[in-house]
Parts: sequence; C-alpha cells; structure tokens
Amino acid sequence: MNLTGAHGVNDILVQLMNLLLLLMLASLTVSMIMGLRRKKQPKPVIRTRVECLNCGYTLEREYRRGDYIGKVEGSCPKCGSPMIITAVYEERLGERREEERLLRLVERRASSSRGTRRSG
Amino acid sequence: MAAQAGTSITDIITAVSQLIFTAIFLLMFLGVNQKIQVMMWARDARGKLAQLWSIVSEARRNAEGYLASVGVSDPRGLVDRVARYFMVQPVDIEPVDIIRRLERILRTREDTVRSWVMGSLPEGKRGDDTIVNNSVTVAEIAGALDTLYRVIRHLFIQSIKYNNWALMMQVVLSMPLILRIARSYSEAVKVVSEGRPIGDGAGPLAAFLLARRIGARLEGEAARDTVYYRGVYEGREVYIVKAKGPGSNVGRPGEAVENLGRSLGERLAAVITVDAMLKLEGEKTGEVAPGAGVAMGDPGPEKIRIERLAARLKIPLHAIGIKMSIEEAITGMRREIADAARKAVDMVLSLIRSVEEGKAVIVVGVGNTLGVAQ
Repeated sequence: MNLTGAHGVNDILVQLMNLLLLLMLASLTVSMIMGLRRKKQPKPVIRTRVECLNCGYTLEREYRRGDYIGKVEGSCPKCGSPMIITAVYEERLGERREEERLLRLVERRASSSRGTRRSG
Repeated sequence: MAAQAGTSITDIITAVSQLIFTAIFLLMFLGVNQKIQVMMWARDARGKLAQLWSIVSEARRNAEGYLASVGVSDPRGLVDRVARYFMVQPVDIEPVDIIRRLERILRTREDTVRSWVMGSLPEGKRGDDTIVNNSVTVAEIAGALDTLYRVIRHLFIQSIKYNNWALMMQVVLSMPLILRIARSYSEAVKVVSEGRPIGDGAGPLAAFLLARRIGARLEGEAARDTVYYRGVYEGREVYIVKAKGPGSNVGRPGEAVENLGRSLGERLAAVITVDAMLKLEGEKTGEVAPGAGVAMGDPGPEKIRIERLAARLKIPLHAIGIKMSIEEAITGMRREIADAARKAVDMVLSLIRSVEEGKAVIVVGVGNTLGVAQ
C-alpha cells in the first residue's frame, strides 16, 4: 500500500515537472514570437484645410503633393475672395489607444485609492 | 512485466528531472543564471540593432532618393559626409563669451553643410531656398540616424567585449525608445521630401495665422532666413517674426528680435514666443500652456539675445507652449496641433491687449517652418 502511494506521488511529481518544463518552453516560444512580431503603425490620413479669410468659409479635402500653408488656391464660392490653405494635417486612427488605455488605468487606480482613503 | 517497465521509465524520468533541477540550482551559485541573462539580452539587442539598421537604411534610401530627384550629383557621398561631420563643444570651464564661441561653431556647421549641398546641386536649383533647405534637412536627418546607429552599435560591442552586463542592460532597456525615435526620424525624411508641415511648425503656423487675423503686412527679412510682419491690433503695434518658408528652416529668431528691438527702443513693451513644447506622458497633444521666458529649443545663442534685450528694456517675456510628443514634433503635423495653433493665437491676442496702448509687441513663432509660407 505504502509503495503504491509513493509511486502515485512520484508520478504526480514527474507529471508536474514535465508540465513545468513544457510551460517554460511554451512561454519562451511565445515571447520569441511576440518579440519578432512588429506592431503595425496606423496609416495616416492627410488632409488640407482651405479657408477664406474674409468670410470664414472653410473646406477640407485630401492632401495633394505641393500643398503648403499660405498657398492661395482659387476664390471663395461665397464672397469671391482668395482661398488660402491654413492647415495641412494628418490623422492616425488608433494612434493614442495605448496611451489612453494606460491613462485610464492610472486614473482608475488613483480614483479608487482616493475612494479608499475617504471611506477609511 | 509491463508494470515493472512502467516503473523503471518513471524512475528514469524522475532521476533525470531531479538531476536537471539540481544542476540548475547549483549553477545558479556559479553565476550561470547571469550569463544566461546576458546571452538573452545580447540576442535581444542584436535583433533590435538589426531593426534599427533596417530603419536607418530605409531612411538613407529615401533621403538619397529625394536628393537624387532634386539633382544632387552624389547623394550617397553627401549623406556620408554629413553623417561623419562632428562638432566640438566650446571650452566651458571658461564661461566668458561662451555663447559667442558656441554661435561661431554652430554657424560654421550650418554654413559648411549648406555649402556642401549647394555644391552638389545643379546651378539652376541653387537659388531655390525650398529645395536647398529641404535638401540640407533631409541629409542631416539621414546623417543623424546613421550616427545614432553607430553609437548604439559601439555601446553593444563594448558591452560584449568587456563583459559589461550593466551596459548591455542599458542598451537593451533603451532600445524600444530609441527605435520609436528612429522610426519617427525615418518618417520625417518622407515628410520633409513632400514639404508638409511637421509638429514643430506649430509656432510658425501660429505666427502665420496671427498675421492673417490682424491683417499684418509682410515687411521683409529681419535676419537671415527670418521674415517679419507689421500690424496694428487695438492700438498696439505688433511685429510678428517667423522663419522664412515654406522650405525646412528655423531661421534666426533671436537675431531678428534683437534687430527689431534695437529699432523699436523704449516703445517695445513685451516679447511673446510661441513654440512646440514636449508634453509629459498622460498630457494631451495640442494643449496650449502659457508661461514666462523664451520658448525656444535652441542651444543658446538665439535665446540669449531675446533674454538680454528684455533684461535691458525691463520688459516681460511671455511664452506659449503647444504640447506634443517628440514623435509628433518631428513627423507630419497632427490635427490637434493645427487646431492648437489657433488657440495659441487667441492667447497671444489677449497678451497683446494687456500691453499699454501705443506700445509695440514682438511675437515670435519659433520652430521649423517646413510647409508654412508667409
């Protein structure tokens, strides 16, 4: 009876050790794959803002090579004054996702600790 | 028999496992764990260094492509020359006239790189400021990336050569940030080639919008590559200074303010500087913050001229910072930054209103004016 019991414990230990080794190997592989995988940069959408400085009429369109701020582009459809490029900017969807996630995490922790202190 | 065989296999596995764990346990006392750690760091650093190299190569390819497209005779040679060019800091144990000495060194560097670019451009294009300035910037970015790679490679090789695990650890831990910055610089090459405004152009954009808002007129150059406008806002004379665009250029705002200040004399009542400002993590891009002093990321010579002028005339120095990250400062201008420039203009106007009527104010839009004309 004793012998069988010892064997049973031994088997469990061996299984646990094997499981541990397997887990170590798996985590190493996962970390290597994650390290190799490069995060994709969000592709920017570039826009140009054209504005009439007389009546304030504004239109936004896709950026065209050669656009720069201060470039005169046609005349205003409302008042006929010259239209000027006042901004060339880009937007990247999801660019701030990670930053916002971390910020939310920090603020949640801060607010929860404030709550605990107040209740204490 | 079968039960016996099963038992013997289990015993062997148990013995081997125990042997492995005991060996690992004993090796830990001999510092093998640290060696394994260093090996893992070295592997990691090698991988990251390869990534850095691919970023640098891509940036160099793009830079050389742009330089070739504008007619530079030997783009590779030019980038190499700029990358190998170094600058020696002035003697700082003797602080007397250090600013003038530093200015000499900076001007020598600026003029030398410019003359190399001019020398390699075809004669017909040497007069085009936008092409010359953009070519200088593109060559400098590619050169800076090349230098960055060589420095990191040096630290990595040194850490292996002298078995310096502390240095290796620093290299490995700094690599993610270095890669982020390198990617941004690489992207900056494309943005400069296209002539689009970058985040650092927030100051010149604010100056441009302010000039349009108050109907100020372009007067000319107040210093090399630096233009100024003159306008009147609610009884105050307003001088607006910015680098000459739309090529990549930061101008000489300090010299321009000094020259204008000299001609305005006692009428000058305040100097307001608007510049891009590095945000802290967690802060929002495009936040506009007021402050005191000269908002300028210059190593000293330009900034000190404005400070000295203000000290001599005993006038306030107002600063307005438009917050952004380092990546956003050197890559294409984000929408939040373009919108923030308008908010900065409102802030400048309220500062101008605080000045006594009949007096003059100088407003400087500090930063790279790439993609922002007059």
